[in-house]
Amino acid sequence: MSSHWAHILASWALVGLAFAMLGVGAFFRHRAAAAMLKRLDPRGERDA
Amino acid sequence: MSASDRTNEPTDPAPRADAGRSLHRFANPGRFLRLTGGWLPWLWAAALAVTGLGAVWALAFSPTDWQQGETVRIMYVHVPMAWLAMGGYMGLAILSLMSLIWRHPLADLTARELSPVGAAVTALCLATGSLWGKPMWGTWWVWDARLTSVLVLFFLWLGHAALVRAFDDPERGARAGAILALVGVVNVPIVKFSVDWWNTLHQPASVTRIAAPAMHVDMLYPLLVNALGFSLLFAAIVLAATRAAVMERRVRALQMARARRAEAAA
Repeated sequence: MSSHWAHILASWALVGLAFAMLGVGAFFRHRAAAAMLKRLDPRGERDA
Repeated sequence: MSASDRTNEPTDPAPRADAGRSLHRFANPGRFLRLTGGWLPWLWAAALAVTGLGAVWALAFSPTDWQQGETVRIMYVHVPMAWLAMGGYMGLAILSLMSLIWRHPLADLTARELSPVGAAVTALCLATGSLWGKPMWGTWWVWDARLTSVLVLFFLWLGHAALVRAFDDPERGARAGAILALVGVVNVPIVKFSVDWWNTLHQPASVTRIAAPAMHVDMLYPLLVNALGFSLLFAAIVLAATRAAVMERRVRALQMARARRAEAAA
């Protein structure tokens, strides 16, 4: 693998990993908040 | 009344100006959650599909550049990150204006959730630019006007994220953050036009300019697909985080109400 491809793959991997971390973090935070709201308030079930 | 109390109001607050009337429809957290709950799964699906398509197109099917060779493939992530860093900051400024003028509670919450994601994409813009600069310019970094103004933009994003979380009263934090965001918006045109106003190592604009894009469609189309994919992903992340923040505030309010009832009964 040439040094140019190493730079290309590092750039894509960095962006992919960062977005994956942000996305997974937001997804699980959202799911946890929805579950908690559902448990505390049945009205929250409709909204979330 | 604090911002956290206002987001838990059961009814719409009275509109303060005509322009803000329709926006206040979204100020009710229940209505916001109901409306956006249907969009979010579709937004995630569209974001993942378009980003996947864009990645395959950019890495496997787009042509090499006559001068840069394969390294031009970094452009398909670097340019969308730069557009998101600047476009996202304009979004932060609009949310800050809505927060200061109409006291829109969801504008505060969205701005709070937007700034860490904005800081992340600006950091990615700088990192991918550096990874592109080394093989093309022979250096990871130069203190030219474009790179320096993007670094300032990164600090503005970080400063906003830190400032809104630095106060015990979330409303005071939101107001301080909104003022910082509006002062910092002066940096966005500096970033955009730095390559025209000063002699920089960074190349001038080749897509977002008044004349037709100076790029062949074989590269322009995958670039636009990647820009759309990352924008959808950015929007999905911010929307999911904002919805989570609204629900977390409702959970806290319900827990406090339960504790007060238990205390009164005891």
